[in-house]
Amino acid sequence: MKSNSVLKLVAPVLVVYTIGVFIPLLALLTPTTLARSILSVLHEPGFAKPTLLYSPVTIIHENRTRMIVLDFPLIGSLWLTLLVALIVSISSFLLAYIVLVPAILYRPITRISLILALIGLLPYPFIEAYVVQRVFDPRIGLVNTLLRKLGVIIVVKGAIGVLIYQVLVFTPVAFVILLSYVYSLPREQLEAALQLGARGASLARLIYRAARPAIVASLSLVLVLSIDDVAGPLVFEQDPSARSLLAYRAYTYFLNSVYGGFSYTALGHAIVLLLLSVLVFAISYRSIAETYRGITSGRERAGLLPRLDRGGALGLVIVVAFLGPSALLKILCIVYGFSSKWVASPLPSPGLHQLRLLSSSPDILRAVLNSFLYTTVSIILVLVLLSPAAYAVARRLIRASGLLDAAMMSTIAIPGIVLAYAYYQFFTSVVGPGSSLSPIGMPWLYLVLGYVVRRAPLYYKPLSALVSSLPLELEEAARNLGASIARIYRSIVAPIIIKRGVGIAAFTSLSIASEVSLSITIGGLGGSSGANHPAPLTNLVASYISFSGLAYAGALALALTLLYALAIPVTIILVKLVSALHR
Amino acid sequence: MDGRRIAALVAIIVIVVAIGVGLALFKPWGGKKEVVLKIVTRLSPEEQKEIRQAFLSSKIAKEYHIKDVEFTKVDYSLWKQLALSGKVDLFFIGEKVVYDRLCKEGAFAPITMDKLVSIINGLKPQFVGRDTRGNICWVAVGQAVYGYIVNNNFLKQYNLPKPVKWGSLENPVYLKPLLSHAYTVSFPRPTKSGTARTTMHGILQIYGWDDGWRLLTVIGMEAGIVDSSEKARDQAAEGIVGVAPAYIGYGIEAEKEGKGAVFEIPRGEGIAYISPVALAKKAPHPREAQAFILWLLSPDGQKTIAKLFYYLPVRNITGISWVKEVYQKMKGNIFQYNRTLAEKVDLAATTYFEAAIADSDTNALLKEIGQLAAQLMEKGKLSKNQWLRIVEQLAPLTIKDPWTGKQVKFTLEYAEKINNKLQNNADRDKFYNAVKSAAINTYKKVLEELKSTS
Repeated sequence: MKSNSVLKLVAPVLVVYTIGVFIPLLALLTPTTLARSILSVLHEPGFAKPTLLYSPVTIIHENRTRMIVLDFPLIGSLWLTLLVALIVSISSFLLAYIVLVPAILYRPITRISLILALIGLLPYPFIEAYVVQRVFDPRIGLVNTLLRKLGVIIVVKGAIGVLIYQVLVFTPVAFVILLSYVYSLPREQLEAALQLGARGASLARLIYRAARPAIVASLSLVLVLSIDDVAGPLVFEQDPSARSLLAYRAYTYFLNSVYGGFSYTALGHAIVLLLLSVLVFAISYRSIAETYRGITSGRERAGLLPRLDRGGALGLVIVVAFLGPSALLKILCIVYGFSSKWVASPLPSPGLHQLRLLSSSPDILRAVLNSFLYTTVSIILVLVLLSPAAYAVARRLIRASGLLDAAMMSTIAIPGIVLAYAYYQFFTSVVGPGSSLSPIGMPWLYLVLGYVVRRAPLYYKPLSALVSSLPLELEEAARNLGASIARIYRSIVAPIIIKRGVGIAAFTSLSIASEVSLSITIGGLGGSSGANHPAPLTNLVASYISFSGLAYAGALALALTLLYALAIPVTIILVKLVSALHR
Repeated sequence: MDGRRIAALVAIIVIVVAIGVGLALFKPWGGKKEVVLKIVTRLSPEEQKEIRQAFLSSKIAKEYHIKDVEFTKVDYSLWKQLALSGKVDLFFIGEKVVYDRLCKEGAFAPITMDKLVSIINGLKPQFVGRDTRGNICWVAVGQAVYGYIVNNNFLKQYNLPKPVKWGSLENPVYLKPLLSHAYTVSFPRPTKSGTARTTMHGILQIYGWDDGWRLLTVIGMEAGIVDSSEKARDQAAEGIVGVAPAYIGYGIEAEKEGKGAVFEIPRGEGIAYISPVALAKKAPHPREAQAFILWLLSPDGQKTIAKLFYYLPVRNITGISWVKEVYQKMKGNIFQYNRTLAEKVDLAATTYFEAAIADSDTNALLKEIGQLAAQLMEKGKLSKNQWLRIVEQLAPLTIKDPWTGKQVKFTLEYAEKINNKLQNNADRDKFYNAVKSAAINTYKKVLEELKSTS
């Protein structure tokens, strides 16, 4: 009886994962393919051996200007990928950590830092990387326009460009993890420290000791995000060091674009990425779980002191200096949507050109609506399928809950391009290329399936932590009264966790709406022009940026803003409705 | 189920249905008699938009009740599957060699519409592709030419002469920007860009196999490597680089940016090409799809593509003498490109380029060689002749044959011999690694020699 009842909770999500992850991947990654791919990578010159070593900083004197050129040497794809990821991870953590102290201490700074971090979290795939490249352009970039007056120019090349872009994008991620965790700690501890005179460095030390799990979690999460990032290397690809990064090699060499067939070496690179991600998660698994438990405890998030003093003013400067650039990057993306052009000038010029461009582009508007629908359907599936699974795992209702947990989390480590290719190969062979159910005939079906499984961990893990934070008494009382597990979930647990998880759902929805890998592959199979195509917005973003340069970047940024403005409120409404459905 | 839960369920369904209906109303899916054509293309999104607008406002679109055309830009590797999927009507623009291959493989349906067949029969034979039975497999709708965009502002900034042909770029003066960590050229990867692939084959045919590879290696040394000809165009248009390969349409687009870019045909090296269109084997709307081809070949269609893409018409059409004049000026500059030869070595040559020139490791080593050579020349420690002798060592490489283990030079004959073998994924990877390994060893040796000169 009990096992039947538990099965009802987890069976649907297991079916979705089996169809949407395990079977297509097993069909692609046969033992022979795996062995060939790994051997091919190991035989590739330049994979683990350095080919060219030089100083990452070169100073050139040119026409009374000192030109500082930054680029990584070619130390081997594997080591360069790890080095960039480590520097990004540590830098993002340090920036976030420095901001953390004033954000915890002063209430007004908490608000400001959260606003800056939330703006910094808005995803503008590809566009944000282009904006970074443009801002650092040696001739016309904003940074060098200012530095030139001091007789200095910074030339950011290849993997260093990727690094700067990733630090800007991932610092808010690290900050939100740290801040949320610290606020989950007993407030009394911090207040006592404050009363004992802890400020600045001493408070930082205290936070460091108390927030270790969150530090490990933020370091490992940013590390994985960095090694999997494709947009950065694609934008900085003209310099060799960016093309040496594993994500670039796995993505751009995967398919032979003329004759078809995949490259074993590229698949090998993707497998290495997968192994690295799994390794990082395995090492930091406990800390991540502990952090999630803390983050979702629902405590008040406000600074200890209500007003700013002199130290607070310095704190404010620190927050603006360290979190401001990340927010500024996203603000530039948003502003770009309400501007004229951005050609050979430090900043976009004001005007309504991009708005007009968007309104005269039915293909982009169509893509906004497509993505809106796909996100809505995906988030409903995420809420309905993953909430019961999160409950079953958090309460260890099944024997193999550890295994189920690992299965649910597995997709965070699977490179999107591998999943996309597995989908195309497997489902086309199963239903036939001419079937209306094929990825060509019905790409949206596979997009929704892929979005759900790829983004599931973002919702599932924090939600299972939320379940763990609930007191057991109510559930025990219901069980004593004879209620089944499914009934307990439906009537007691689900309404609480789904409603409390509204922020998690909104973030997951944002992440689905901005998904890149599946969208740019499977998403384009049914066409992407005209007013009836089924392609999602990120497909058009990648396509326009690749084939039309920056001409459409502003209109696309505006389209993304529009999509988020539609998707987030609807997700909040859906959370309320799905929660009501369970009462 | 209580009332509240029913209400919630209904509300969820209403939201999903409302968005679905919104999508339907945004551009009605209704009107079943009207047709939406699905076209696989290599056109950029902007070009797709322009051709769509022009066609939909034509008489032919109305006559055949064609309500919309939807373009898909996907890799060539998916074309055959798409042709047989029953979901695609047409293939439009792209390389003739790809159309020839797909015709051989039975991916296209014959063009049979009477009106269209009579127009096609009046075209020059080189504009028509036929299968073994003589059926019309594809038809060219326009001709254009590949050349390069030169940015005069960039050349002026680095005090460089204007290259008059691709071979000019072998002059070590074009290495100078490497000293400032800038690139003279922006060159797309030939596995990703038809422009780059055709230019690569063109250079190999014009300069001969050995010298062609030397020139391509030096161009790779001077170039930022990108993944699309559009990116290369934008970089040349903005003056980020001084030279980028382009077809005439992109060249003129770059000129319009007004940042010093001009489109040039390298002296005697313009590569003329045709842009084909073909009907998919299992096209769901064969009649309407052929009507689209009919429009492309009509005076209206020919004028439109001349205006949009600077295509020279394949038919004798009045009213577009301006485009003919543009091409008249280029007449003496066109090279007779051998497509059959290009096809015979295509995979071997593109894989070699990717491994020896575009790969991150080999390209970084080439740039290091170029930078050092530029420094030495500036100091007067390296002459032009010495430089040309160094270039001779760089290409074509002698590699360890991955199948026999013997040392072999990458000759034209060898490329022809292994070309088909490279269709196998594992063999292609082996060859790539063999070339890359040879390139790293050779380039390192050359670098050491140069260092000892300094």
